[in-house]
Amino acid sequence: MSGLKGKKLEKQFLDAYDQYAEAILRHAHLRVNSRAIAQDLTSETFVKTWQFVAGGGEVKNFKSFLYRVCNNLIIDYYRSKAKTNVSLEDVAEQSEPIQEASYKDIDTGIAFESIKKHLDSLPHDYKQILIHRYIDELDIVEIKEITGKSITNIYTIIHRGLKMLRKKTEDD
Amino acid sequence: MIKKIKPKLILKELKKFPSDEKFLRSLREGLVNYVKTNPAVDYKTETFQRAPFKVRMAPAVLIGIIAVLSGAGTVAASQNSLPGEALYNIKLLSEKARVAVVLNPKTKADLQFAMVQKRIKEAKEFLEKAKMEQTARQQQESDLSPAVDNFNENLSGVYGWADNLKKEGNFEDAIQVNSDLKTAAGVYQKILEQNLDGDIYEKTSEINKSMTMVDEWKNKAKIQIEDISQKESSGVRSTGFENSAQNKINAASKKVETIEKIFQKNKDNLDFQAQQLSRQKIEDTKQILENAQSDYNSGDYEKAFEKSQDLIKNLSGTKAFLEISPEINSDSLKNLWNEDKDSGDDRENPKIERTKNSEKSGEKTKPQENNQKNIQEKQNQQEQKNSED
Repeated sequence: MSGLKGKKLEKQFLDAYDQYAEAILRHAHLRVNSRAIAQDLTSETFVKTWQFVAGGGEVKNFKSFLYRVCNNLIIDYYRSKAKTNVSLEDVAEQSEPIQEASYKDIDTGIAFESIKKHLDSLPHDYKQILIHRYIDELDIVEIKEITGKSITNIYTIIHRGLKMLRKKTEDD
Repeated sequence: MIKKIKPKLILKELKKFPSDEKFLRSLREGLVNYVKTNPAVDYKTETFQRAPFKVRMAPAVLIGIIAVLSGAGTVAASQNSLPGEALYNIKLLSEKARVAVVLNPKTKADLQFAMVQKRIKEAKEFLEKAKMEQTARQQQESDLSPAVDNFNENLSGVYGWADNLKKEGNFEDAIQVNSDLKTAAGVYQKILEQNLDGDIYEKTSEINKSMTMVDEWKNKAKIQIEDISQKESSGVRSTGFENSAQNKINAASKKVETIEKIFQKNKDNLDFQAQQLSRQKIEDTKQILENAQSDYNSGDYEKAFEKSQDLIKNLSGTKAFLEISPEINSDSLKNLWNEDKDSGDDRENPKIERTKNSEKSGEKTKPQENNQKNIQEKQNQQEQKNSED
């Protein structure tokens, strides 16, 4: 790799930061329900990505790569929590509330809180894929690249996940 | 009645997540710096073809630039370097850049404490190597100087975090962090005192100022621990000791369990004497805990609270010792523990003030007195060893 490419890589990396950092932070926050931890995970995601790139690793698609690194860090975080015998419910309860978005009406506002609460109660991979699909707005192929799951499996999880959310919300 | 909800639409509402602009800006700045300090492989080729001054630069500067610009491989290679080696400054630079991209105060402090522990290990390795190579004392100090400065920088970060914890009322964690800091500073001092001939606090010593600062951090941490304990006690005094005493006993009991686990984990790294010392310390603390419980059972809640509080303080120090102590010998470990016990005197005459004042008046400071004591002890040990041989 020539020196010019090195400088180009730097620019690509920082451009990727400008484009995706906010989305990665939001994704991390929705997954771990803690602003401080989400910030750490975001910072670590970009540091690890640069370490990979600076070491000669090739990144064809920064977007998928960043989400994949972030996802692995989230898994590591949950594993370390499990080792200290803190239940995931406790982790969710200990976290700070996310500031509510502006609501169209009270019903939407109540539904927002309800959805968030029920999203947190879904199995991890369901929650991850629903966030990827509807909040991160990734397409199915991108989700496949990030999670390693088959396209059929992803569609099934989306379908079941939405069904579970609808049922939980209606039961409220 | 809530109308039928379409989860898809509501999930999309979660997109309107408030953006943390301040954090994202700070992180970007940190990353720009990090990227510059850890450039991509083969960056140098382009730069050296264009560098107009390469012929005229002094060799040392050129080597420095090559090292900085030669990319991830050099940074990786620098990670094992010791003070005085060519890549050591790159190691420190890359660590600083790494810390700079961490914005969460707790994570930053944890990382800085990890750097503190790294400096301790390095100091031991470096001084052992310097002894073998018979490096001149002045050279050793010159090589160590950036390492000691970095040690102080990271201690400062950890102290700042401990102060935050105290202000938030998180007294137990504040005491633990201050204990870690105090122990780390103490161990670093011992390693240098054990291995560098002569007084490291002498005015002519190159690392005099830096080591005096290490001593100041140690004393600041000591003072903080006392201050926090007093704050805690006066807070409890106003509300009554009964509930707080039982909570404190329970917290102390958990701490004893933690220390036992840490001891089991680290005991193979300790020499026989240090193992014995540590076992004895744990047994003593269990006895104190029993006494605290019996004070509580007999209705003396204040005594029970104070005993448990002292116990937690001591246990915080023990935890720090067990994790850092393999770096020093048992005699120094014993001295450190004894210094810990005698912390009462320092409350009335804080070392920081004494150090500053005695520097002005030209008197020897307490660290200098301690150092002379240690040199004397070393000489006694050497004489004893010689006579045994």
